[in-house]
Amino acid sequence: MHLAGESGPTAPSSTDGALVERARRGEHDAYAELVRRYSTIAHRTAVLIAGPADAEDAVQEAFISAFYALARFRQEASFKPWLLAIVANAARNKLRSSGRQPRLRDRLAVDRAIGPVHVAPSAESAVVDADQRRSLADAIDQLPAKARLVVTCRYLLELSEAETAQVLGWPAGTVKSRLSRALDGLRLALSVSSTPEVGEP
Amino acid sequence: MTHDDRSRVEIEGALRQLAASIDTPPAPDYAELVIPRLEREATARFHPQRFPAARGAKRVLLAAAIILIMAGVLAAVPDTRHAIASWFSFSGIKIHSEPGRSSLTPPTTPAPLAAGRQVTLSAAQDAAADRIELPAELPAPTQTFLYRDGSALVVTLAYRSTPSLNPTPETGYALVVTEIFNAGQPIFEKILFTGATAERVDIRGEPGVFIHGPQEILNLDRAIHDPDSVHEVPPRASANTLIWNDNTATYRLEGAFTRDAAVSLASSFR
Repeated sequence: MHLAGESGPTAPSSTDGALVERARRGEHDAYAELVRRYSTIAHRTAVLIAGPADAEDAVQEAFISAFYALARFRQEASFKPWLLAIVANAARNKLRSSGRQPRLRDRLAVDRAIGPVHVAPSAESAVVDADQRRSLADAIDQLPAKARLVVTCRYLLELSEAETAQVLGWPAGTVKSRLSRALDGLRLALSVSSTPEVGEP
Repeated sequence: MTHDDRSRVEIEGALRQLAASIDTPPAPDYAELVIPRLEREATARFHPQRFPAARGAKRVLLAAAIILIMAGVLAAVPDTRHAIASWFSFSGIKIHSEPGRSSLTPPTTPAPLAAGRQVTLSAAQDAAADRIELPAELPAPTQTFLYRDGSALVVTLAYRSTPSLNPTPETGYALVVTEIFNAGQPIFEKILFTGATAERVDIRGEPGVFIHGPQEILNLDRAIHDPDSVHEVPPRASANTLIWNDNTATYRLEGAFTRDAAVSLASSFR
């Protein structure tokens, strides 16, 4: 899956930093390029946190807020986690105000007959079949809110631990400990260690 | 590899595979949705006929005009551009000067904080995802308030008394702390009148400004995003103020303190 970068096969003509600098000067076309560059990951973030019904509003608000906050962005920092922190906050606000808790299971494509997912041979190359994916999604849905958030950022959005810390505004140690507890919770819920099935390479 | 390690590797592998099977609806063209909104807001700020003739709205326009003029003059010198941005662009708070005196009469009774609904500190921490920082030297605030403005969260901590500060005539509190999270658009406007001074300070390496003397604070929340609305919260006189921001929030302290006392207090935030 390709989420970072978001610019497709053609190399971006300007770095994020250069676009930010131009956007700070009020150049809307430069900001439009940043919006296009990060629309997919921003949208996925909002869908996973707030659900598809509120995602579009959350992302629009986040892009508006981010524009006005560009003066606060540090040029040496990475734009993606800085932006996603704003998106995640907007999505969490939508989630609180809507009172709806989106179900990850509703977002699974397993029921559209894509079949089991095979990955490269390794210790983690177990084939996770459709039922297991449903169970795992259900287990994530049952996690406490902060545990669900950290799992979403780290694994479902494929952010690094450092990026996860920045997006959620938590210290790195907090991310690590909450992630560890969340994985323990998922392991317990699924009893993965007792039923591994190693697939063919 | 231990049994626990193997289990962790397996669950991480399963999560990565799960990520590949999550179906996200395609993103709309956000640039088409967002950029016109930004352009409309930029236009609304600089065209007076779109605002009602409310006192606060006039101040928004005046502030925008002053900032635009200053930016125009100073932007001609490239080295000063960053200074302009860092000096005036505390996220969520605009600062500008107006010649003359405030039209407000000196406060005889404290003005309401108009800081949203009162909540427990714990509830505010939950709402702010545990990001609220508190002055390490002080006990818990007397009152905590919270409100949202779009995606921004504004938390106000009011201290009725502190060991070294007396309540101010402006608020009736010894110390008012405002923390603004996810602030994009300006939420507050600080207006400095003749006799006020603004001095740049550093708070744990972050840029800040200490404002001493005659000043007001104005809540801008609705005027910026809804040109047809008027301010619900009138400007109020403000005691000395320290403003700074970091990666987490923009902070505003208000009290009858000196610059050094304010910086010391701000540096103790944890």
